Amino acid sequence: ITIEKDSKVPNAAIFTVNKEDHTLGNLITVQLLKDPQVLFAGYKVPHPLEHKFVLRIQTTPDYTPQEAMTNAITDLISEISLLEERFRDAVRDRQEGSPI
Amino acid sequence: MSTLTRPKPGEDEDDLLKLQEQFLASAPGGRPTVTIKRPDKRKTDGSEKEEGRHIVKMEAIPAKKSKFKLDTELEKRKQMEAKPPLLKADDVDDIEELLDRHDRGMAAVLTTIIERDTRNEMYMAPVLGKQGFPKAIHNNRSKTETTKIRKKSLFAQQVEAHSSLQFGVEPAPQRSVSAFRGEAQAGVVGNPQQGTTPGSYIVEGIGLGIHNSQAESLKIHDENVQKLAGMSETDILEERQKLLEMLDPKLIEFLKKKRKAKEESSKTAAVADAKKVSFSVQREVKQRSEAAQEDELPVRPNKNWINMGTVEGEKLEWMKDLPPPSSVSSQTGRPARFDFQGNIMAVDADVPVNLGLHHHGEEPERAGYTLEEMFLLARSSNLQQRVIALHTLARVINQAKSGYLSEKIETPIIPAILAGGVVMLLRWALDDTAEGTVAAAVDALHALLCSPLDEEAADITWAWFLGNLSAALTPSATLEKEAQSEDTDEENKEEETDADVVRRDIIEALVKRMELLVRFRYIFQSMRPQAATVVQMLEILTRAAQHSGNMAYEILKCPGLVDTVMTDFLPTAWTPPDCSKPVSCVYGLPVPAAMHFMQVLCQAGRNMASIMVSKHQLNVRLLRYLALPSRDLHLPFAEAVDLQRESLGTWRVCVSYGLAMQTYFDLYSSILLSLGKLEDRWLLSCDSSTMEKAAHDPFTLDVRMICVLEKVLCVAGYSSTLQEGSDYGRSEETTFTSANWSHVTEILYPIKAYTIHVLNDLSTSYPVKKQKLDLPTACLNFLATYYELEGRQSGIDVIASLDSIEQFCRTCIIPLLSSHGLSVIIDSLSSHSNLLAPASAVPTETASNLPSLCVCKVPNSEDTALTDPATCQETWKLNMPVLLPHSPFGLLVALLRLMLAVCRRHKSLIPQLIEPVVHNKDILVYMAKTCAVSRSAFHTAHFTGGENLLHYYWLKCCTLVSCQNMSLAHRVALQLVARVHHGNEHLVHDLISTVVFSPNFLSEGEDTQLTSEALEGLNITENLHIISATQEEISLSKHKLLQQTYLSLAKIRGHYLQAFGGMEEALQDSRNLFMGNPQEIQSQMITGAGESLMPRDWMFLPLIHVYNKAAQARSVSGDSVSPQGVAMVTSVLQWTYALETWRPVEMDQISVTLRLTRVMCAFIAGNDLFLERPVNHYLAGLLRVFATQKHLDKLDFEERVPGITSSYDLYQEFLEHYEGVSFGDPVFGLYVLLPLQQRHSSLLRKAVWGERRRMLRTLRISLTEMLIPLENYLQPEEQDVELLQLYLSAIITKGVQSVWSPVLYLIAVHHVNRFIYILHEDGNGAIRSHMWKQILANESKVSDVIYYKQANVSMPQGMELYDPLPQGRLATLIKRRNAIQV
Repeated sequence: ITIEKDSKVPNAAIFTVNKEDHTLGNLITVQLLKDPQVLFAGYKVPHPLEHKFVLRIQTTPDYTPQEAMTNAITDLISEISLLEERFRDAVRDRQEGSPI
Repeated sequence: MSTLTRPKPGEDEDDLLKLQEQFLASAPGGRPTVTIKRPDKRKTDGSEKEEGRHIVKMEAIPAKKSKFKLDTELEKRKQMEAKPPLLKADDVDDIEELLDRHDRGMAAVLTTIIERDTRNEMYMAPVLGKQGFPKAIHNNRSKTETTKIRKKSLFAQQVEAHSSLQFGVEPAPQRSVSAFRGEAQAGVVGNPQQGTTPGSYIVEGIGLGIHNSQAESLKIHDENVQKLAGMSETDILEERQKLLEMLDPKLIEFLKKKRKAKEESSKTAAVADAKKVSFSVQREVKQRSEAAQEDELPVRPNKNWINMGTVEGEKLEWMKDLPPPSSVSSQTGRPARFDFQGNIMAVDADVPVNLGLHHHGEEPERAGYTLEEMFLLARSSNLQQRVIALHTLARVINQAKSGYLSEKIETPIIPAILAGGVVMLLRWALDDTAEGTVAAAVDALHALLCSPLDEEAADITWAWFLGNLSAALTPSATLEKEAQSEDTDEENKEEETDADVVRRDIIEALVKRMELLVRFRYIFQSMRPQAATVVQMLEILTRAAQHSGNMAYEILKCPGLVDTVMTDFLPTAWTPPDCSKPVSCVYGLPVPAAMHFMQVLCQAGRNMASIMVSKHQLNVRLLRYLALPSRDLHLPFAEAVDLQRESLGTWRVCVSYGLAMQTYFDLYSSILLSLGKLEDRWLLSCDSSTMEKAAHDPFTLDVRMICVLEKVLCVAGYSSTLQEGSDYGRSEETTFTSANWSHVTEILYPIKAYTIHVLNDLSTSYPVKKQKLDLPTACLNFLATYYELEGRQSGIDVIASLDSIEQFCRTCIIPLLSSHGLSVIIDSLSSHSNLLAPASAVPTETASNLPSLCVCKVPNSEDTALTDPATCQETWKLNMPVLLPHSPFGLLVALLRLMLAVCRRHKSLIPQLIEPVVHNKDILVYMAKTCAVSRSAFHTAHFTGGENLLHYYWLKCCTLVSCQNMSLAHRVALQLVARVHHGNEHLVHDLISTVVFSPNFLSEGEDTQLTSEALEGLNITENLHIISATQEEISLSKHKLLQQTYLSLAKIRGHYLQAFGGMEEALQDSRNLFMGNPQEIQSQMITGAGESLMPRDWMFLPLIHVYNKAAQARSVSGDSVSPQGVAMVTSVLQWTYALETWRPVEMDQISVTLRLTRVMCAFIAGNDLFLERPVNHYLAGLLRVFATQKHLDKLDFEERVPGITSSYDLYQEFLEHYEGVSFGDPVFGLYVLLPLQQRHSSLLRKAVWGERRRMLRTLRISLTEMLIPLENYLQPEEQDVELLQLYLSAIITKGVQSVWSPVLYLIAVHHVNRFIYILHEDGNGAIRSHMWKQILANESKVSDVIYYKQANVSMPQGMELYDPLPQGRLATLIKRRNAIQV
């Protein structure tokens, strides 16, 4: 991941994430857009054969894109672990509830 | 069977019948042989035939039933279908078998069939269908199925029902004569085909006798007759149509076919009773008795004649007169018929048969041949038929090409016959061994390929400046393919079949695939055809060479072909032919057409011209033909003049390359001599009024000679530069006989003196005499070139030459400019303008694979209608106004050129010379008119080039002296840039560098003007601020933007010139042509005819280049556009903005959608390009332009835009870009919003709402920033249910929120609200209640939807809400609530 500050737009940064594609790009973007302090978040895969995506984030002045990114990732991780936990629970319930 | 005797000649019908009876009786089981069904196979056997005949009738009889019978039967059949009889299951093909089975009983009744006298019987004939045969025949089957019990046929019943007395027909004396009295019942067409009725008896089945069947059928018949009597003709037709629809089409088809077969066989059957077989196409009742028919025969058959013992009327049918061609039958879409001259025959033209136009094809009563028939005859085995067909075809094509037929025929002929495979046909005919056919094939091929009118037109413009250039007639498909084949490998080429090549490019197919050249060489060498054919073949070769440089080289390469032409048709020595009679064999004589062929070959390329000169001694021939006056050439006079004319043409082309200069020196003395006489001859011809009527213009040769001399001037003028640049080494310099300036100064004086004379004459007497303008044009061009080049020479006495120039101008040009003669000439500009020509004049007979110069003839509307076709042809004129007699363009171009050349050297003459032209009212009016016309029919025609040149030179004049109306001049320039043709790259370059971006021509940009405009603008709120993503305020002040543009015009020009740098090579070529530099001209044939050089949206081209480059580079490296790219885009946008503001009319000629899509490319081109400050500003400015109501109304995203696959795809890309990189920039956002208006397709809206939900979060344009009126998004209300559901779900899931994207939120709320409160039933009730369910489930989140009243920008969320709901809505709300709770 490389971070680059956008020169023209205030409070904006460009994250280039290598070796990832739409899967992660979309996930992070949607999560970022849930943040009310994020003004803009969008990603783009420059070329379908190139394994990377470019994420652009713009935030309100009292916030930074890096923070937004960190928050989004933290939230995502917790959300996913929650999902995983629930999934395991469900599987366990199922196995215990109806033994073969 | 063997016991039976065979029929002998001499037995009459009675005997035959007896024989037959015996035969049938003796046949085992009474079953006749199967063969009786196919009587035509046994034509020699009388008795068999007899039977055959009856069979035929049996089958045919049911066809005679009226359709009403059919009606009832159909009902019956339906009833029967409940329990299908045995035969029902049979296939249709089994009918034959079925009939066979019924044939058994024939023996029992055959005798009665013949014996019975049918003269007085009445017939019910079928209604004729479209196909000429009735459909009712199918009943044949159903009847046999359903009414097996019947004894008698319908026909018999009919006969019984109507006594013969009813018709009062006298029995004819001969028993063989069957009297035919078709009944006169309304709408029933008497079909006099079959006379014997009782045949049907058999069909009805034998041994199935049940008594009531007869009664029943009688009943049916009576019913039919009654019904028939009660119905009108239209009713009958209607019923018939119904019937046709009811029946299985396959069945009908089968029956029709069967019926036809029968018809044919019945014709061949030798019927002893002479019966009339005639079927008419018309819906007329035709009844003829045999007796009457016999009278019709031109000769009464005499019994004593051999083999005429028994008169067989059917066989004598052909002797009768044809029925008159009727115009009554006004079927639409009859095939056109042509006579041997290629004229179309009127439908009802009654021509005598001895003209040979009648034949035994379809519609025998109409004279003439259809194209289809000619195609057929062209392949006939009969030589004469082939020849006639091909010749006729040639004439038809000629007529069609000249445009005489365009009004008489619905669809153009040429494409039709090309699609019909005429090329293959003609090529095949060329391979014939008979000379006649070959000649005819050449004739047809010549008609197809060559267009003499194009040549004529080229001849007219020959004296004009650059008249020696010709257009290469390459089909655009071939050009495209050549461009492609550079990328792709060669193997793809092989896959094209001959037919494909023909479809793409006829000439290429003929030359490269079908070996036309080799065949021609053979014809030339071995067949030695007649003079006319030779000329035609040479013209075909000429046309082939005009195709392109490559094709001309193919011809030159073909071993022996050019040699043959040279030795046989361009000899240097010949025996004088007898001038009193027309030449039949041109071998060994010089042929003008061959010289023309040489000219085209030379035009095609420099290398070819030098081959012609060095290898084939073209210059020797030129010398030989030109050395003597035409009278002393020992040729027929007209031929000699033609030859000299073509020779001069070829010479001009050669001299343009600097070749064949030796001839000039050789002819020098005679040239001077003839120039000296010129003045006297002009005087002479002006005095004699006969000049106009002379068969040819006596000055043609002089005109051409002066054209040649002009080129000689070029050679001489540039020779000094050649010597100066001594490193200039060329291999062909050895063949290059250089002339220097001193060689040509002598010829100036006679021409100058003469020009003065002619021009003075013009200025005084042109309105009266209307002299031809060719000669003055040529002279002026000569002088212009002379003065242009004189300035480049070293060692010239400058002062003396300037003096002479000034004197020349004073004596000649200045008086001319103020003269009445010139004003008349200028006056005629508008009427001769191609640009102002009506669209109706465009030829229709064109084919994409055989391009032409689009010259044809149109009726001369000024003349009153003439009935006589001979004089009618005279009143046709060429379709292009530029080419009409007294066209002023050539002269004016030459004049302006001369003036510019003079002014360049003698600056003090500028006010006197240029000003009158620039300020001339008539010219201004004409220019304004051409600006007002958006796109003429002849926009791209080759000959419009002359008009373009005039515009160009006029604009050049305007650069010297500013015109009163500079914006008009600028508009002319803009139009011209988008209009000029290939080969005029020089013009475009010059215009771009001196006119288009010149501040002089943009008077609007001057400070005073701008400020006054800005002051006006202050009243209307011009300044609107948008906070961009960069947190800067974008001021949309028009004033500022324009001022900036105006100041950076030079930079913009630089960028445009740089962007068109790719054309450098073409530009150099084109400039050389204009300058006439003989060493550098490579070809005088211009490719890409028929297309404009620059696309109409040329101002966007650099933007597209940047976009394409970015698209390619993006994958390789970084995202950002290079600084040069940014500067380029800025310039383009600045320029576009300036044009949009100052030249809205010109811009409107390009569709708004096109412009918008081009501008959208600026966003897509780079990731942060649009964030650059100037770019963003101008994008905002352009948006303002596009957002005006006028443009919004014209915007149409369904339109096809060149360069992109569809607007939808572009929009998708645009959206993706917005999502990815926009940073929510409002300008970008507003462009996104443009296609979302309600009037565009809901597909575009779904692209946002359905596929890109994330955008709803980032499209944060506030309501105050909206440049587009909000109503466009709210009205009319959304109908697309799917989209409405998307709206609702976006609101419920908080995908769209007022905080983030107020505009979209408002749109969604508005449409959902309007939809759910619709009270009346519109078919969406279920969806509506489903939506209510969703709304009420999330009532707290979507209260806006329920309480929304109307949009109001001043309110916080842009909407006004109901506080308490009005009564009606409240009721709906409660009702819905209750419904859900229940």
